[in-house]
Amino acid sequence: MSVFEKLQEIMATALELPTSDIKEKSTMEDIAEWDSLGHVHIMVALEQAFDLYMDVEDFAKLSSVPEILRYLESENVDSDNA
Amino acid sequence: MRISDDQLEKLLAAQSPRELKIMLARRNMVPTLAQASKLHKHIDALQYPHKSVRLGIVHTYTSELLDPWLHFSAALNQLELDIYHAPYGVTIQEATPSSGLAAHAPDITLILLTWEDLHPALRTTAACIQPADRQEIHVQIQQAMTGLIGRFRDNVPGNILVTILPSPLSPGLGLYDGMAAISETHWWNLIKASLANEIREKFSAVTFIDMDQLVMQVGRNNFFDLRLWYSSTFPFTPTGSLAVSNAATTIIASLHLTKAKVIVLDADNTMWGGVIGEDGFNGIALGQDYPGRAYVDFQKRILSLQQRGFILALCSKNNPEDVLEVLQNHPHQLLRDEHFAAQRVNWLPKPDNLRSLAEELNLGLDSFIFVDDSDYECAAVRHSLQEVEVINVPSSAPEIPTCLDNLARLEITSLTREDLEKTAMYTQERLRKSQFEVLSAAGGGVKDYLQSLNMKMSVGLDDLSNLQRLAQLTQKTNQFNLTTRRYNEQDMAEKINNANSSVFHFSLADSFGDSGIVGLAIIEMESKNSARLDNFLMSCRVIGRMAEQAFLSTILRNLRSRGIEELSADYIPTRKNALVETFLPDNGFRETADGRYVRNLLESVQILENDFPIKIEGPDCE
Repeated sequence: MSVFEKLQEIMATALELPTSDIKEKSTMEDIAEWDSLGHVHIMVALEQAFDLYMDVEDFAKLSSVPEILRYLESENVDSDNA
Repeated sequence: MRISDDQLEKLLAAQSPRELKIMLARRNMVPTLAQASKLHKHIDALQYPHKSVRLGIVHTYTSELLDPWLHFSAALNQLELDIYHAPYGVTIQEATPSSGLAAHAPDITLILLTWEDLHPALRTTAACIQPADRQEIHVQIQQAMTGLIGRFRDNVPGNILVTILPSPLSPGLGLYDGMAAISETHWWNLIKASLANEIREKFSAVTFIDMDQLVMQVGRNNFFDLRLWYSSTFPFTPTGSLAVSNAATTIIASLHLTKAKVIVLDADNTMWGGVIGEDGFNGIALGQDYPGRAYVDFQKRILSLQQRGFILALCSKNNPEDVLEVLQNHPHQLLRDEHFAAQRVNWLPKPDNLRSLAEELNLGLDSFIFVDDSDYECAAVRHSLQEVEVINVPSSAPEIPTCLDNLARLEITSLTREDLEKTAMYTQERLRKSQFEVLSAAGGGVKDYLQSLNMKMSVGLDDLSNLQRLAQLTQKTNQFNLTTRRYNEQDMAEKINNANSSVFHFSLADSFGDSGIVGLAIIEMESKNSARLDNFLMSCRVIGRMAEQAFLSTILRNLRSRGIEELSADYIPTRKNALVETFLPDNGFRETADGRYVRNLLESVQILENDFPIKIEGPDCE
């Protein structure tokens, strides 16, 4: 499973959506369920799933799938962490 | 603790929601949201019966983020929640009949408050509040909280759970706080205790959850997430979220599941380590060393459960004299002979023993919790008595003292005098039985026996001071119960306060002891001269002593003195109340064409005469 697929699963669970609704280019604007509460769910789920401790300042910056993927890459996350 | 893939596979093999709940709790496991979602699907696939509950949440901090954890822990407790979140912070406005909360018609309302909501002075650090001002602030907090909870109680149906968020920060005076005269912690505990007292004494169906206990279970740093607290006003980590959700749903489940009444304990490797028949009096593990210490703690736990109002029974495959020797003489044994309301120490199959215990105690098997270390015995009971809840005692001694900690059916939301004295009452019943046997052997009949008891019945009417017990009786009584209509404390308070309803109750004392309140009848006035018997019930503890007739006759005489000429009544059959199938016709009620019953109170029927072996004190009759 790629990091993106893993992220798809995490976000779909956090937002209670089918995985297919989460696309490689999705942003907060595209997905109605991805509101501020949904965003906190995603952040908490990312931390749990990849065993991260994120800086709260990063929360606001991670408002799209590409940004989250870039962040995960910078944290040296690969799908085996999951 | 994180759950590895291997552990997740094991969890996904759980056979029941409760088994899964226990597995998670024993290892302090906290699933990720994705794992929780998989486990939730697994529970759904098991198709266990569950109860749908409407939950309303009133909150002064973000509560919506609790939802996935609430739904997950609800599933573990065999519940399904329909959750409504009140608008953020509008606490008082929600306590009106036209609010969104009232429109949701909640079965349960969870009120989430913060420490700072209690009083404006608490917005600063408590260490800054002068000792001289503290008393006044304390009184104001109490008044404000009583006012707030009262408004919800008056305007929202169902049960209410209140909890106050402790400070996410450690005490202001640091490590010295516990010693300081102006200690924050001591003051907070004082306020909490007085709030809990107020709630218990002033309100029905309101439960205070002490969130500090949840914090202690996992630790402050594991419970609170300061990043989320400051950025989103949501205080909890996933661990904290799960702990809060679990506490709330466990209480909700305890309010909605069939009440447990009896804990049946095994002896070997349950009350003590080892096998008494093989290891002997001095060889069993029970005392100050490992693993004996764990068993001593487990016995303390069981004694606390007895204090919660559960009856203890013993069921062990052993020679009776071996077990009795430990019960009576072992220096570290805490559970003594008199703590058990009934015992079966023999070599019979355990399901047979449970059946005969149910008969002796006059209680249904679905109120039994069977606690045993043997896989074989647990499987045998599960197989032949599906209504009995079976707890397999862990094989590792350190896990034993807490093995009953996560059972919703062992949680209580009230504690009455009757609960505290229950086992003593069953012991008295054993003595009554032997008196009866002595009298019978001497050729005496039932009447002689009843006369010999010197019974005194005290009948009360619309007594708010016994509200908890009166509501509890409708919740717990299954067999001697004409209609099985259940009422919570709030419903009961309404009936007591309503001039058109009369709630009668009785307690029965005899030469062996006082039963406490064991019978209840509710009368609804339908017109100036007719009334309806809404319910008539009696605890099985006093069956066979003519108490039901004495109680009914007192009620009838009271009604007649108030001008009532006709009393209608129903018998609503259930799986358990066949005992009272003929109670109404046996007592002068005539069956009508529509299957209901009516009794003419003007007819002089023998039952109205005071010819019971019971002296009755009660409300004015003639």
